[in-house]
Amino acid sequence: MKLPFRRVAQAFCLIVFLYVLFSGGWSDRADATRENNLLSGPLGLFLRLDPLVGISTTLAARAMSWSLVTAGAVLLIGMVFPRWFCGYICPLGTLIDMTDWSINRHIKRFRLKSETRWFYLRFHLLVGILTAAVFGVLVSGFAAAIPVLTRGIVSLAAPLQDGLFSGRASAVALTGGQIASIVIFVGILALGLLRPRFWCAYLCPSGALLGLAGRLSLFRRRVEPSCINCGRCLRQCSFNAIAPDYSTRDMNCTVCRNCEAVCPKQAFRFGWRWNRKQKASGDPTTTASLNSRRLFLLSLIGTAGTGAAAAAGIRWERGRYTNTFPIRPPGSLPEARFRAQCVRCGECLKICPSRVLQPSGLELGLDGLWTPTIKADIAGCQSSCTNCGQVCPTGAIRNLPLEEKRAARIGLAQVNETTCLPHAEKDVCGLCYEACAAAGYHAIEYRRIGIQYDNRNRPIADSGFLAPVVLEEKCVGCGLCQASCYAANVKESELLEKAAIQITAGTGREDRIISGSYIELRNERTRLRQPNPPAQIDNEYLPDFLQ
Amino acid sequence: MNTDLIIKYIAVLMASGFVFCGLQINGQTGAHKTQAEADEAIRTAGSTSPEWWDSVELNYPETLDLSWPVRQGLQGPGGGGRGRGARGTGSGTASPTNVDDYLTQVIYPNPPRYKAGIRLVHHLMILHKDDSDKLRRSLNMLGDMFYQLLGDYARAAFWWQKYAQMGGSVDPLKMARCYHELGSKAAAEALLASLDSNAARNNRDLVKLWARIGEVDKALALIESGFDGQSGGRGVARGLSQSDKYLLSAGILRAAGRYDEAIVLYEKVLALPDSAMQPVRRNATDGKDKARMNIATIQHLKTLDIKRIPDGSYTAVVNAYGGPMTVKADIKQGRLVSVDILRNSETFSYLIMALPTTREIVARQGFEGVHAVTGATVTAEAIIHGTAKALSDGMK
Repeated sequence: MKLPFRRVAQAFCLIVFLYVLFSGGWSDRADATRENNLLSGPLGLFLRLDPLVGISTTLAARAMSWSLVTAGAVLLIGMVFPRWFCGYICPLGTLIDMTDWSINRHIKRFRLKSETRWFYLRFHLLVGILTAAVFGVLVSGFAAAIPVLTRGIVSLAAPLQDGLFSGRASAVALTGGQIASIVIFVGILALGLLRPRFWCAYLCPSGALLGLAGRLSLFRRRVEPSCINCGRCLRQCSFNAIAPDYSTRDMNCTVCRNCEAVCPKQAFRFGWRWNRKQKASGDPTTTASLNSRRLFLLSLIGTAGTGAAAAAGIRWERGRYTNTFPIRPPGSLPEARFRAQCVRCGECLKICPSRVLQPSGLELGLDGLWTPTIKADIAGCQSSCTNCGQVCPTGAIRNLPLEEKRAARIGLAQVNETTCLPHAEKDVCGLCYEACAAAGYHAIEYRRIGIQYDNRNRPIADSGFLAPVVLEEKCVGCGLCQASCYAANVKESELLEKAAIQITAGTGREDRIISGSYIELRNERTRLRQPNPPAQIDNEYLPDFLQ
Repeated sequence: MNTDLIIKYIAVLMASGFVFCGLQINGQTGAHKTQAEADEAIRTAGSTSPEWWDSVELNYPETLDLSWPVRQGLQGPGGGGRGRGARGTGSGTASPTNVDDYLTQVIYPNPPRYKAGIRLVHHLMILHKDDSDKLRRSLNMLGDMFYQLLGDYARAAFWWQKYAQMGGSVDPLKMARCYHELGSKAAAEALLASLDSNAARNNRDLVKLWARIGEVDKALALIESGFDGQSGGRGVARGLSQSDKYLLSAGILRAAGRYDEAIVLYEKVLALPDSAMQPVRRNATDGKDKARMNIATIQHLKTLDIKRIPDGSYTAVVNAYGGPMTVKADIKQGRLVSVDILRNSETFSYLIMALPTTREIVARQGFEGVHAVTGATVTAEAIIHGTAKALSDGMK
C-alpha cells in the first residue's frame, strides 16, 4: 500500500509538537529540563509558524519580532502551495482529523444542513483580531490556531503529567483560566460534530490568513473538461474547497488531494497555475448568502469597528487595574508592551521547571487573562534557569543569558516584621536566608535583634534572635525565600497564615527594559545609590603610632 | 626597584605561610619554635596587612556614630535596648547608630561582613589614636575579631600584644592558643604552666589547651586531680560533676585518637544513675545523650578514611542544641574541601562559637586535634558528629 505522504507528515509534526512540549516536563530542575529536551531548538517553533502570531503581535507591539519573519515565510510558501500548513503541518488540524475520524463521524445528529452562511466568519474573526491589534490590544491568543492548541494541551495535560509521572510536590489545582483554555480547546474539537474540520474551514483566523495567501497560490487544483459532475469530490472535501460547479475555492483548498482518490475520471490535476485546459466555471454560491461583495466588505468594516471598540473597551478596563502589579518572569518587557506581545500560548508555563509560572485569571483584568505570573507561594524562580525566555515565541519574555537573568529584578522581597518568627521573637528561623544564599544571590542577611545585656553592658550570649533583612540592592525578587517560608511555616507547621516574606512588584521594585543589559542597569543603580562616594580613606595597616 | 615593596611582598608571603602552617600541621612538625621565635613570627606576620585588605572597602552606614561612645544601656536608641518591649515601630532593622550595637547586630551575624567589620574597627583605632581608652578598646577588639571571626592567629596575637603593651589584659588562654597555632609549644606551655596554680577562669579551656599542645595525660591528670571526693577543692576540675569529668576526659581522648579509652569513659557516663545528670537547656539533652552521640561519632571515626571517599557532597542530619542540624561535607579528589552547616535552629552565639570547628576539621583533614569548643560543646560536638556521619555514609 502506498503510504499517504500527507498522513505521514501530519503524524510526524504532531509527534514533534507533543514531544517538544512534554519532554521538558519530567524534572523540576532547570538544567535537567534542558538536558532531557533533545529538541530544545524547535521549542515554540510551531507557534512561530502560525502566521497570525507573528503578524498580530507585530501590529499590537509595533515592533519587529522573529515570529514575523517566520510568519512571512509561511505565507510566502502559502503563495506557492495554498494552505499547506493547514493540511500537512498544523497539529491542531491533525488532532481535529483524529477526533473527526474516531468520534465525530459516528454522531450524526448535529450535522449542519446548510453551510454557506458560515463561509466568511473566519475573515471577520481575522479582521477583528487585526483591528484590535492595530489599537494595541492583542486578542489573537483567543483564536489563533497554535496558541489555542498549546494552551489547551498545557492546561489539560501538564497537570496530569506532573501529578502522575514526575511526582511534583507542588501540584497546583486548576485555575479558572486553565479551565477556560481547556473548554475552548475541547470545544474546537467538538465543532467537528457540525461537519468535519469545521474549525479549519470556517473559523480559524490563522487559516483565513493562509487562505488569503492561497488566492495567489501558484500550485493548485485544476478541474478539466472531462469532469462528469458526479459530485463525489464535493462530498469528500472536508474543507468545503469545492464549489457546486466543481471549481476550486483557493482560499479553502489545502491540496490534501483526497478528491483525487474518489474521482472516477481523474478529471483534475494538481499542478501549476499556468496549466491550460480548464473546465468552464460559474460558481454561483460562494457569495450566495451575501447579496453582494460590497455587502461583505461593508460587514467586514463593521467587524473592524467592533474590533476597535472592543480594543478601546479592553484598554479602558486595563486602566482599572493600574495599581495591580503582577510579578512577571525575568526579562519580561514593560507591562503594556508585554501584554501587546504575549500571545498567551502557555509555552513558558509548561517549560517552567518549578511551576512557579502560573496563568493569571481575571485578577489582572480581561487583558491579563492567561498571561504568565510568578506565584511565589508555589516555588521560586530557579536561579539557574532561563527556560521561559528561550521558548517565548514572540519575545514578550526576552531570551536572556543566565548572567543577565540573575540580574533582572522582577520584584522585591519584603519581610513582615510582625509575623516573621524571629522578628516577632517567637522562634529561630532562617529558611529565607538559606534559600537566598543557596541560589547565590545573598540578598538576605541577618540582624541580631532583641539582645539582652548584662549589668556590665555586654550582650548576653543566649539572648536575642537572628532576624532576616533584605538587601534591596541585591534582591531580584525570585521568590525562593517566600516559597520556603510558605512551605514550612504556612503549609507544614501552620504557624503563619501567609508567608512572612513576600515578593511585590511595581515601580522601583522591578526592571522591565525592552533592550539593553540588566547587569549594566544594576551597576548604574549602584552608582546612583552613592551620589557622593565616600572619600577614599587609605589607612596604613600598621600606623606609625604603633610601630 | 622599590626594596620596601619587595620586603613587604616577602612579609606577606611569610605571613600567609605561617597561617598555612598554623592551620595545616599545627604543633607537630612546627612545634619546636621557641618563645622568641614565636614572638618574631607574630611581629612579622601580624604587622603586615592580610591579603584581602585592599580588596575590602571601608564601608559603614552614614548614620554610624564614629565617636564611638560607650553604649548607653537601656536608653540606647537605634534598637539597642532589650527585648521586645524596647523596640519601637519597625525600628528592628534600622541600622544602629552605636558602633558596638552595629558590630553585635549587623557585623557578627553576617560572615560576608567580617572583613568590612575589621576594617571599620581598624579605622576607629586610627581615628581615636589619641584617646587611650578607645585605642585600647579597638586593639582588643581587633585581636578578638582576627581570632574569633577569621582564625588568623598571628594577627590576633599581634593586636593583643599591642593591647597588652598599652596596659590591657589579654586572656592568657587565647594567647596560648595563638602560640600553639603558630607552632610554638614552648611558648604555649609556659603560659599555661603559669596558670596552673590559680585555676584559670575557664578551666575547661585550660585542660583542652593542654591536650591540644600534646600533653594529653597532663590534661587528664588535671581533671582527675580536682576530684577524689574533694568537690570543694582548688583543682582544675573544681565544680565539675562526675559526669562532666568523664565527658571532658573522653572528649580529650577522642580528639587524641585514643578511641577505646574514650568509649570506656562514655560508657561510664551511661552507667551513672539518672539523678546525676543535669539536662542541658532547650532541647533537654543530658550527659547521657552526649555520651551516646559521641560513641556513635567514634564508631564512624574508627573506619573513616577520607582518601577513599568518592567526590561529592555528603550530608547528615544530627540533633544539636536547638534541634536538628544539617551538616554538609564536600569531598574532592580525596580531600575534604569544606564543611558547612545548613539548616539548623542553633542559638546564634553558640553557632558562631562552634563555627571554627568546621574550619578546623577541613584544615586538619580529619578529627584528630579537633576539640569541642567550650561553651558551645553541644553544637560543636554535633558538627563533629554530623561531619563524621556524613563522611562515613560516603564511604559506603
